[in-house]
Amino acid sequence: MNATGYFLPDDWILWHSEGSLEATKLSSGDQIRIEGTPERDPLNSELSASIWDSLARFEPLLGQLRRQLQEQALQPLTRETVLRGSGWKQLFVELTAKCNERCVHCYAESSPARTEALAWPEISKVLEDAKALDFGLVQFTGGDPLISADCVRAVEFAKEIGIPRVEIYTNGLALRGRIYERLRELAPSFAFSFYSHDPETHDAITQTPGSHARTARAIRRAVDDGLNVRVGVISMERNQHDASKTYEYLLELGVTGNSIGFDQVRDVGRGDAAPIETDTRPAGVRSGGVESARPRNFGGSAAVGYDGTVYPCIFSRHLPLGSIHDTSLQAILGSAEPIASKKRSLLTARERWGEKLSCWECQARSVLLDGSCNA
Amino acid sequence: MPDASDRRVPKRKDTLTHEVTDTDEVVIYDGSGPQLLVLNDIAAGVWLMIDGARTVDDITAEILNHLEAEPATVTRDVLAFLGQLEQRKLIAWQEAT
Repeated sequence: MNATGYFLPDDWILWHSEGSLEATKLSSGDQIRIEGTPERDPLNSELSASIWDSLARFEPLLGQLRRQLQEQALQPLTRETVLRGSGWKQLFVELTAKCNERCVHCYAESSPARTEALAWPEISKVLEDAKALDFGLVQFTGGDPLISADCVRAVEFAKEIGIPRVEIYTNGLALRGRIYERLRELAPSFAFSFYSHDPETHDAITQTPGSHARTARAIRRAVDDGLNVRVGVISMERNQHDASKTYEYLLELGVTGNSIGFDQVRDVGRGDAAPIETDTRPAGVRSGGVESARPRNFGGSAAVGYDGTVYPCIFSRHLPLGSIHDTSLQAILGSAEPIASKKRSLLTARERWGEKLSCWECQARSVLLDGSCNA
Repeated sequence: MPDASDRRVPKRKDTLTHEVTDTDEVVIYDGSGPQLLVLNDIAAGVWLMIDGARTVDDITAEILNHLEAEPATVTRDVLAFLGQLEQRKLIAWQEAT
């Protein structure tokens, strides 16, 4: 029997057919099935309080589900509702594909040789759309966004139109001179990519001699100037053995411990060729890279690639949603296109996408949005 | 009594637990799932009588003792419910001793 899908912001996907309810908690992947009867349908007619109490005693998660069903409206399972979750939180904007490093694992396959970039009219329109959609954070990334001639202007414009938080994800090599002076005034947040306390190891990963010293200098200067700084360390074979020393080194640069995130290489772009490492963060240090600082709610992220393609996330490049060359970001993200009501198994999400996608939300969204994996 | 004798004995799977609510409804929990079943009145009655000793005939007869209903209808409903439980691997069958 076909089931009807519902989204219960921002943490449950429900599949309902007469008398039966399958609930998947998106933040954890927990899945629960309730088989009722037409008279005791878990969704369409309220179960008695006694039954809910009993259900919740067996499965405490059902207590949470019950409360959310009482407090929130079920939403149809559409592309928009799955992408947006409880609200748009983070938009990645890749200003350029060009980078002054050529990291061995780069998901965007950036390098000094790349030339693709967003044009200013596209950037400004994307930012206006981000404001209209009420995104809480815009992260400029790339390539290295500081190489884009429009980076400073983009930060100015984002601040001017009232984007609540603006962040630059950079290696810091170009964070100097007049660019730095102006950005210091504008005071966006900075997220730095960094790989090792050991210059030789770091430079080998970036394939850029001298990059360790320049990135470390940029981090220290931004910290000393009171800017909001965090650092993402991607662990791989070359640097996983000295993660603790790298962590200590970053503390010495002035970065606070809870602003240092460790993550593993994702199987995307040049990372596709790199062996996937296990999580090697030092004990007590959070994982998930710099993205983990955002709230752990489902959905609410999107990325505009340097070629104008829109994705659910920078890593979800297998799920192009449309292009800002053809239509607006608002139109792409606001699509009411229904997701096929045929029940899908979200339990396959980790298996299918665990190596490519850094978080469960993106894994789950990939299963929901990928038309090829009807269960 | 049902027309055809049915001496099979349904036996519950070991991982199952159940709870009878304040309103005499029954909820079954399969911890290996996790799967929960909310039963209607007849199904709840059948479930509570699955004790590894009663046969299908015994269960049907007990239901008929407490319910004014056509024997054929009760037999059909009991067998249908037991079939659902079997399909979900919540019970296994054994022969009456």
